[in-house]
Amino acid sequence: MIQVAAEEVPLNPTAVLVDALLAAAGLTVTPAEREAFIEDYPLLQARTAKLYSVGGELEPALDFNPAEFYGEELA
Amino acid sequence: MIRENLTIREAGKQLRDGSVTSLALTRAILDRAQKFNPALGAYTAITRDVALERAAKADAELAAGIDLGPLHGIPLAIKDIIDVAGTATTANSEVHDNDPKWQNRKDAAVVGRLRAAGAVFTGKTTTSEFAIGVPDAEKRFLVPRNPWDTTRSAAGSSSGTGIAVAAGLALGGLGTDTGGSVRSPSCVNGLSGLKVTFGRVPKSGVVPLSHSLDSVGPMARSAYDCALLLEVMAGHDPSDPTAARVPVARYSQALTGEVDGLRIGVPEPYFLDHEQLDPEVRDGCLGVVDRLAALGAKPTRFSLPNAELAKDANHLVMVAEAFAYHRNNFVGRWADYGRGTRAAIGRAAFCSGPDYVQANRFRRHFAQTVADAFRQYDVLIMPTMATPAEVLAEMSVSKRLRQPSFTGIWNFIGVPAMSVPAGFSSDGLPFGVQIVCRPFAEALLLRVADALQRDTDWHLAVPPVHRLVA
Repeated sequence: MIQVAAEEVPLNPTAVLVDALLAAAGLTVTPAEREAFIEDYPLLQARTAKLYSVGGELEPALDFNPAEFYGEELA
Repeated sequence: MIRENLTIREAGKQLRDGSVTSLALTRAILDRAQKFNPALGAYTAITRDVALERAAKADAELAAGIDLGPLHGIPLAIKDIIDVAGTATTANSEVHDNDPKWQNRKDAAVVGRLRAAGAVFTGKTTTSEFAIGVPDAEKRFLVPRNPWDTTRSAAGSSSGTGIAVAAGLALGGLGTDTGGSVRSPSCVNGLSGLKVTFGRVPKSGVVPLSHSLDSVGPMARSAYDCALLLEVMAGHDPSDPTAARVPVARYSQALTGEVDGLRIGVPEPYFLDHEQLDPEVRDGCLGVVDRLAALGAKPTRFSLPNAELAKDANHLVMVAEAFAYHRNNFVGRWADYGRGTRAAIGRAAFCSGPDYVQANRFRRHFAQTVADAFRQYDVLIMPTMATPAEVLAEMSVSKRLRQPSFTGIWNFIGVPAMSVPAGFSSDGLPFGVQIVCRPFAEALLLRVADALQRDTDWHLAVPPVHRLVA
């Protein structure tokens, strides 16, 4: 039996993640756009992670007032 | 001869003392617009015939003693994401091409108010596609160019209104602002531009970018002209659930020139010590603070915690909300969008639901931080942008991601902010300072800006567009 070794291509974890997220969002991008997204992704993620550094003391994000939304006659 | 730097206020006086007619004024503006538009890319559509018809009507009304106020007979330009009756709203996008929904629109609420006040609409002005992204020469629209140097950007997204007012192709106009889109083109083109309090001006009839951040604002040469525009634009309208039920001030009457005792906060970390801040812009900003101090204001440098984080959170909220609006077209018509728009909004694919929620949780926290600052200071002053206009050929959405931004911070918490001219670089390019104050205090903001403009003439400088046509 002859075994053929597959060529090993190192995986870029960021690229894998970006591809998965773009696919999940339904986006089919050009190769150049994909490269730019891969380049920007770590910076975007680092910035997003910082948002969670201001955490525990925060009040709820949204107010929803049914009376205001539906009007007095429906609420 | 109609001067390029004629203000709305001056034109109003001339219309009433008979030294000019609206028809002559409008014709001169339209002639200039048609002459320079191919080189400057200010307008997506010039509506000459209806403008001249409306101007003639304004003249007849004024002659008959029917005076609709300071905007009666004044030529104004409208950003092409805002609906104007009888015209298409292109949003500078091929996505709207051939879509019957976007042709022959009805007036947006704010445009209806300007129309009722007798304004003359000269046309629709260039916007960055859907109010985001960068100019894309591969699309069918003219690339907007800075009238001070056409190799440079006019900034965005209200690029066309900025160019039109600076070059004398309109006396004033409308822009929209989600992260700086009124203030940035005002800054690099040498104008005054006001991002109003969220909800101050109704947004119905305006293509949304980000529903919780968007605002419609006036752009003009002077703060006084912005006041005249805002008096008409502001106020609740039932067509927009986010339009605030807050009384509208007589903004122009608040412009007393008085700043004695005004407490100015000058935030230093991030705003004044950023490594990408141009030293000339920094000096210009501090020079403005010194001028106001000489007029009696009391400046203090201070630190505003989490300002950079607020800039990033504004970006996250903006692209997430924009993605929701564009999602279906993105999936089916990706190639119809410009490259910059795809790159900018497509980033939302990397934001999770919890990220969006956390950004909004932080929003309330940061609003409280800024509210605390406004207990100590009446206004805050900082550069509008870190540099004068950038070179068009070097613009990219990725580059912008790595540049500082001093404008979106204020959209994030909904407070008003105004850019006014603050001088020129050694290359002859204008730059601006930004004045920020508490919600619905636009009268204060305009008073400070007007006081500065009584003491300076940067806002009256005219770009050398005559060089463009031999």
